[in-house]
Amino acid sequence: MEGFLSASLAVVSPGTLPFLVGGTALGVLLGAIPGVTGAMGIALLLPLTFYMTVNNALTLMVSMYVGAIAGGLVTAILLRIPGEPSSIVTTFDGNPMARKGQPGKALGYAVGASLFGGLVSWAALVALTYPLSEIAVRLRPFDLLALVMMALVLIAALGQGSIIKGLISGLLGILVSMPGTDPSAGNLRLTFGIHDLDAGFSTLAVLIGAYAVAQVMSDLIEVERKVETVETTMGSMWISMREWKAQWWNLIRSSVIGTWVGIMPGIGATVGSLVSYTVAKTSSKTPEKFGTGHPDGIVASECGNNATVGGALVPLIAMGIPGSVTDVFLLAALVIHGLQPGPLLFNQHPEIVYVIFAACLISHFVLFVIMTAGIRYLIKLMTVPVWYLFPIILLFCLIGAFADNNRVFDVLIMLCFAVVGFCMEKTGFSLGAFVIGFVLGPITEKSLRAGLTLSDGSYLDIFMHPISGTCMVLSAAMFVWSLRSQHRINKLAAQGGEAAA
Amino acid sequence: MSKALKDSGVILAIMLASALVYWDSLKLKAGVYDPLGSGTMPRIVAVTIIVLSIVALFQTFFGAPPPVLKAPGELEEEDFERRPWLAVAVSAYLVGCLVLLYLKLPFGPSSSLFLFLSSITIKRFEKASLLPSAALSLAVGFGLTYLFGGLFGVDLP
Repeated sequence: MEGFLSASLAVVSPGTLPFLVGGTALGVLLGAIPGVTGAMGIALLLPLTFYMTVNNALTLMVSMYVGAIAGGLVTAILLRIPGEPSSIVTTFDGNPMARKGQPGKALGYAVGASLFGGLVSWAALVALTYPLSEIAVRLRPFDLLALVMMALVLIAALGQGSIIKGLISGLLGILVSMPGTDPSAGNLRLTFGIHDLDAGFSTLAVLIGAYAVAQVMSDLIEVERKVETVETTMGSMWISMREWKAQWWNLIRSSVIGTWVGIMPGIGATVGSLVSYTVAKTSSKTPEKFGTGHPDGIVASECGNNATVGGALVPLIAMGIPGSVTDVFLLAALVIHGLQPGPLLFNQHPEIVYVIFAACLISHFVLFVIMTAGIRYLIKLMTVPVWYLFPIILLFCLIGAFADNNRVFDVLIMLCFAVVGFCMEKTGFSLGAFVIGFVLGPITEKSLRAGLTLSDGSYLDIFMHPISGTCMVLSAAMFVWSLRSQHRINKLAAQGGEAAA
Repeated sequence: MSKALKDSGVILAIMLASALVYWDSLKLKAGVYDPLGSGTMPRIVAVTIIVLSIVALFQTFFGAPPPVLKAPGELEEEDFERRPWLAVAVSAYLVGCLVLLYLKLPFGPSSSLFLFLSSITIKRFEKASLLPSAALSLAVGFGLTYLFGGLFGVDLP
């Protein structure tokens, strides 16, 4: 408690508070701009944090993360443009309510639900991280390997698109993490005689290239895309206690679902909001009202996606496994500042963990203030053309890739991975799975080698222990379930095609 | 080019890259103190990717595309002009900017030139956009130089 209080005081100190407020505001802004995601924003800001103190850097990034997830709701409700992919579900009911003449109310529900979901997931973050890190310290190498495998299968199964392509993406990420000096044996491998690769691919160059530059290239191709916007005027955002009381079960259920989805490694806010919305709709007495401007839909979606933030930080801090794509960049930021996320972080640097907790909590309140007080100005900013942003983002990418090691080679690597990421995205491969596989690659290999050494080379040992065995069975079940679902969809599509013919 | 052809092209490229990694990892021999060796993991991953790629290739030609989550306002059919050459042009400008930096031209002018060329290409070289683009490019280019180099002390290319 003492550690958390001193971290909270540090976060609200004059030296750090501007980073918290600025980070949240920037996150909201980036989250609201279609095509620019919070993960991309954090990736672009990474080089700026090189010379910041760890506290300031982490405060900036965590608050940006919180702001970006919520930022997408403004355009989703008022303009029917989801700023963040996770806001797509908010458009289902948020925009119809706005079109019915109650835009302020729709925003009020969304902002309130975001705060509630964020706070519940923060409580879960605080309550679960320490016990989980205590358990994680005792995990055997094969347990960790099985957890990573499960994370990759989950991302592939629950992401959009083919599970096979999702798995290939994750494995490709692991493969890309391998060139350079083998951390176990110390010898060079897969460098093909290129000495600049002796230390492996620069983490920032790969992440920025595959994720940010590739995304900008895609956006540039579709720069002329017009989305049918529905502009509305603001009204009162006030939601009465009676109206909130009617939502109490929806709020709690969606927050728990979002937090749980966030804790599952590798799955992001989009799945959180979608699952919360689906559960709210199926368990509702009036499911037919969903999609027509029903408050339950807005609350479920926004509560669900904001609750993933705290949840996703749990596996990152406790096990070093990113809970979402945005967490990949947070993980990179921690590594850049000489910290290794994982079970030992709590023991070796508890003050850092408390700063993350404090920044996460306070930024939710700052977010609430920004969203309620500054929403009118935010809407005005949304009408500014964003086409000029794309070249500026590319410049940020160039600086970020170079600044990691001060090498032009890394910029070339960034460009190569931009092409790889672009081709992958256009053909349905998951970039999220790729970047998560890339950061999990070293843990995967280390766990496999240590596990095989302990088991005298027996691969079967992975099924002989409760944690690793359960994770492997769950992964297999998830894989089969996903393949079966896909097969069923294909069959239905084929039947639909025949009927149409 | 059809979607199936595009998909299969990327899948084949992934298979080729994995095969290359597999071939290169065969050179890595296991040591006395490390019986698994540095090459085992790359080989396991490369073989798994190749096997999954064969399945993906099969799905490309015989499976239906998975449904995509869309916002209600998103149109089913695209009614806008796609500009693939814009991405190519901006990428070329970025490479050009890198060449200029390699030739020791400072970051300010190089980045301003990149921003100017990119923005007027996006705006289809409209006369009306030339002056605002130039002003904005100079401000952002030199502004970023000051922000990163002067204020944050980050080394610029």
